[in-house]
Amino acid sequence: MAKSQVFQLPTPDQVADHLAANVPRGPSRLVSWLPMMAFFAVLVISLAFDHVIAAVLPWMALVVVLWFVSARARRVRRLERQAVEVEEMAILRYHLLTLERAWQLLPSLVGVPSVHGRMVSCIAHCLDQLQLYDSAILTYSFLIDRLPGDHDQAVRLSIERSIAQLQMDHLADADDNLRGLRGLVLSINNTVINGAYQFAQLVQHVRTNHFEDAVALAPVLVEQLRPLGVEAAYGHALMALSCHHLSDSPGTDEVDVWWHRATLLMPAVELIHRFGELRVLDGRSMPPGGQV
Amino acid sequence: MVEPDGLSQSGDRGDGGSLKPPGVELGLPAFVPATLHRQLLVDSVIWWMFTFALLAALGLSLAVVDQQESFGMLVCFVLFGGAWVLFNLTNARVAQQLPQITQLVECGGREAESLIRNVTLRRPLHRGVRLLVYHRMAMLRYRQRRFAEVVVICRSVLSCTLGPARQVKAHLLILMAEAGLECRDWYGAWAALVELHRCRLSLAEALRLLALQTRYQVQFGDDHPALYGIEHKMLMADLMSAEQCGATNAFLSIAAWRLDQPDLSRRLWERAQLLCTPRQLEEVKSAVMATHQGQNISGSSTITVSSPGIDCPV
Repeated sequence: MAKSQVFQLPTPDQVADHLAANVPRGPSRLVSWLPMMAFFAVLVISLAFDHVIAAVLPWMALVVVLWFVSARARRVRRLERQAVEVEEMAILRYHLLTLERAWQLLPSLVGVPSVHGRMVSCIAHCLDQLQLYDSAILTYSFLIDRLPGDHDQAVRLSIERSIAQLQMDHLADADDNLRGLRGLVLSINNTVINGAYQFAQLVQHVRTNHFEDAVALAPVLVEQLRPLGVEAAYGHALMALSCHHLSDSPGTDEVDVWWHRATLLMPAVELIHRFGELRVLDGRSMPPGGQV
Repeated sequence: MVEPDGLSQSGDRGDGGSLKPPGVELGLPAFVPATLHRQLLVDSVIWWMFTFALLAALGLSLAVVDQQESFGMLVCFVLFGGAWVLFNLTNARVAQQLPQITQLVECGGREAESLIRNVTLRRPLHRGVRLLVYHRMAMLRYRQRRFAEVVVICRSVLSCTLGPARQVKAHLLILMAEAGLECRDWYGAWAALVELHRCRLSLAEALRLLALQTRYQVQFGDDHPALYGIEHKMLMADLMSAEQCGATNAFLSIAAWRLDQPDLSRRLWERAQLLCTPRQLEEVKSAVMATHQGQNISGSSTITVSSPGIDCPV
C-alpha cells in the first residue's frame, strides 16, 4: 500500500504478507563494526605513509565515524518518537489512523526489534477494535510466537487472541487457549491480566450460552474487572445480558443494576458496537434508589 | 518547603515524608544535594581535561608532521583517543543500564538501590547520564513513599542544566508535584504544576497533570476550576489507569457535592466506586479532610464536612 494511496483496511492475507515481509532483525554486526574497521584501516594507512595527508587522515576518519554513529542514534530516536506518537493515537482511540501510521512505519522498524514489537502490538489492537478479528488473530499469533510463553505480555496477548477467536465463533480454539492459560494466569501476580482472563471467561460463557456459569462469576466480578478501568464496562454489560437471559421476568433489578454499572463507565452505543447482542438491553435505566 | 538541612532532622518522623525509617538499613544513602553538585563538578573537570589533552595531541601532531617526532605524536594521539573511547564506553554502559534500573525500580526492591549506588559512584559520567541516574533514584524513592526525599532530589536535579536529560524534565516535575502533595509541600507542588503547564507533554504526562491538578484544586477547595469542562475531563480521565481514573472521579465528585450538584456528584462517585477499591477511596477522602484539618488554606468558606444521603465521601 503506497503512502500516496488512500489507506484501505487490509485483508488477512495482506496482513500476513506485510508481517512476513517485515520480520524484525537485530542490528547487523557488519554495520556495527564498520566504523571501527574503517577507522583502523585509515590509521594503518596513515602509519604506512609519511605525508601531510596521512597525518590528517585519522582525524578525518574519526569525524566521519562520530558522524555515522550519531546519525544512527538520531535515526533510532526519531523512530522511537514516531512509535510513541502512534501509541498515543491508539490510546486516544483513533484506530483507523493508528493502523495506517503503524502499517507504514513497520518496514523502517525491522532493525529496531523492541519498537517493532510495540508497533505490531498496536496493529493487532487496532485490527481488534475495528472488528477485523481474522487479521487480529494472525497478528496476535505473530507476536505470541516471538515471546517466551510465560511472559506477562504473551499471556495478555493470548487472552486478547482468545477473545477475538470467541468473537469469530472459533470456540474450540478459544477454549484450548483459555484452558492453557489458566495455570499461568494464577501464577502471575498481575491484577490486569487476572481481570482480562476473567473477562475472557465471561465472553466464553455468553458465546456458548452458558449463562448460569456466567452468573456464577457475579459475586466477585466488580472486584476482578476493576483493574481494567472503563473497559470493565463490557464485562458488566455481558453480566447484565446473562442475568437477562436467565431471569423469568426480563425487568429484574439484577439486570438493571449490571446494565447501569456498564453504562456508567461507557455509553451504551459503544457497548452495543462491540457486542451486538447487547442491543436487547438498550434503553434500560436504573430503578430509583438503586445502589452501584 | 523542604530544605536539605531538614533531612536528618525529619529522619524519625515515621510518616510518609520520612527520609529514613528507623531500624531500616538502606543500601543507598539518603540524597544530599551537595554530593550531586560535587559529582557534577568532578565529572566536568575530568571531561575537559580529556578534551584539552586530545586537542593538544591533535595540534602537536599537525605541528610536527614533517619532523621525526610525527610517529610519536601519532602514538600519543592513539593513546588519548583510546582513553576518550574508554570514557565514552563507561557512559554508554551506564546508559544501557538505565532501562534495567527502571525495571528494578518498578519492583521497588533493594537490587535497584545497590545498582543506583554503584552507578552514581562511577566517574567520570556525562552530566546528562548522571542526572538520568538521579531521576531513577527519585522514582525509586517515590516508590518507597519517601516523598520528602523525592522533592529534594527533583528540586536539585531541576536546578542543574539538564542538557540531554531534559527529556525527563516533565516526569521530574510530575514526581515533585505528586510527592509535594503527599508530604504537604504545597508551594513545591504548586510550582511544579505551574512549570508543567510550560512544558511540552506527552499524552501520559498530560493525563497525569490533569489528575494532579484536579487533586490539588479539590484539596484546596477551588471547586469551580476543578469542575470547569467536566465532560472533557471525564473523557480524558477514562484514558487513565483504573486507579488514577477512579481517584480523579472521586475528587471531582467531592467538588460537585460541595457546589451543590448532587446528581453529578452521585454519578462521579458511583464511577469511582467501580474503578477504585474501598481503601483507595478512603485515601481520597482522608487527603481532602487532611488538607482542611485545622486550617483553611485557600480561605474559601465553601468547604463543609457533612454527610450526604448517598454513599458519598464528605
